[in-house]
Amino acid sequence: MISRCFKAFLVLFVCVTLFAPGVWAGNKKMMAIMAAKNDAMRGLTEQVYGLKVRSSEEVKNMAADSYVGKTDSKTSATLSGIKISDVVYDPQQDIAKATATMTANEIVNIDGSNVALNGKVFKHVGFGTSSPEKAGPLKALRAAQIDAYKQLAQQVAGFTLESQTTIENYMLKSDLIQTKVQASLAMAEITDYGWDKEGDAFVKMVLNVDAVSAMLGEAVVGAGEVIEVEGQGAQQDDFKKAKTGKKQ
Amino acid sequence: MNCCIRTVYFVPVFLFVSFFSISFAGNKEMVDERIKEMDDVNKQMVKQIPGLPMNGKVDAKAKVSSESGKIIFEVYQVKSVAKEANLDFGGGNKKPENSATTKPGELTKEKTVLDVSK
Repeated sequence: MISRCFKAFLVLFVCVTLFAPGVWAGNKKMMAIMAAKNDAMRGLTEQVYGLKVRSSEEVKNMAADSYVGKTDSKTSATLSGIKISDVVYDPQQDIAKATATMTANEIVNIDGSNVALNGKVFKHVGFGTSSPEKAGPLKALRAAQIDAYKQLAQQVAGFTLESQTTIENYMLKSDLIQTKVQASLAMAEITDYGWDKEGDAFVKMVLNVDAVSAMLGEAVVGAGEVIEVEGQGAQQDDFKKAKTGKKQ
Repeated sequence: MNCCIRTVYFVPVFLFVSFFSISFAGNKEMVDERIKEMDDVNKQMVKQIPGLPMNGKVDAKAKVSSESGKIIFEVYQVKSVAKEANLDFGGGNKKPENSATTKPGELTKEKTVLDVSK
């Protein structure tokens, strides 16, 4: 009887040991794919409906370790008709990729303006992972995307500059520089993205002012311009130690 | 056999390159570049302020926009403080009561030259 119980326990143990990792792997895959789908849908919403960007930067005495840059982005919309395709999962990297596509004729954007899209097709590629330790490149890519949005906002809406400058024999020395920008953006398209050999991410973004003007049905400042920016994002903060040390 | 040797050789090299490429991925270069951009924009803005002192301090606020690739500064607040050196014509400068540590010829006086607020 004891032997039978032991055998049954042994079989159960072997089964659990062999199959459990398979079950976990399946869960990881699903989680990564779900994250990629959400990222793709968020990107598409930011592109079609728009987003609000608020950013501030400050640097004292031109010291890199004193630089503080913060950019917040916010979007919230109910969009229908988003299709997810090209879902790919890399089990070794635990990173999934998904593409969100949407076709629409008309939309009310983040500013409450009616935008005639005339069946234009919008596409956004998103990435996701279930392992925080593998998320470095994806975080860098998102940072690059937000940096590109900030640059667009600065060019489209302008920004506020506050400074304290010392002049010695007509030579200027910047003591304190602060910049601030807050703007709503929509219809910005990502034309290219990727990572360089150091692992830093880049996102190239384009905003066609004429196309935006035509969609809104009203004149927009900077007519005839195609604004191109390149955002950058890093995986590590080189000044983290210096800032932590200063706080202490 | 050749293929196996190549793989054995390639894997450590790949791991070495991957490890160092990740460990070098930082934001120092980006921050340096951005600080330089901010400094350039600030200097361009300050240079547009009329009546800048030769020596002194300038606190300024401006709205910066761009049109057709050209940067436009709309300066709406300036506080300029000139640092003036008193000239010594041989008669000797009298020491001010509150500047005991200041040597003759290095006397300084702060004066608000311009204060424009919208």
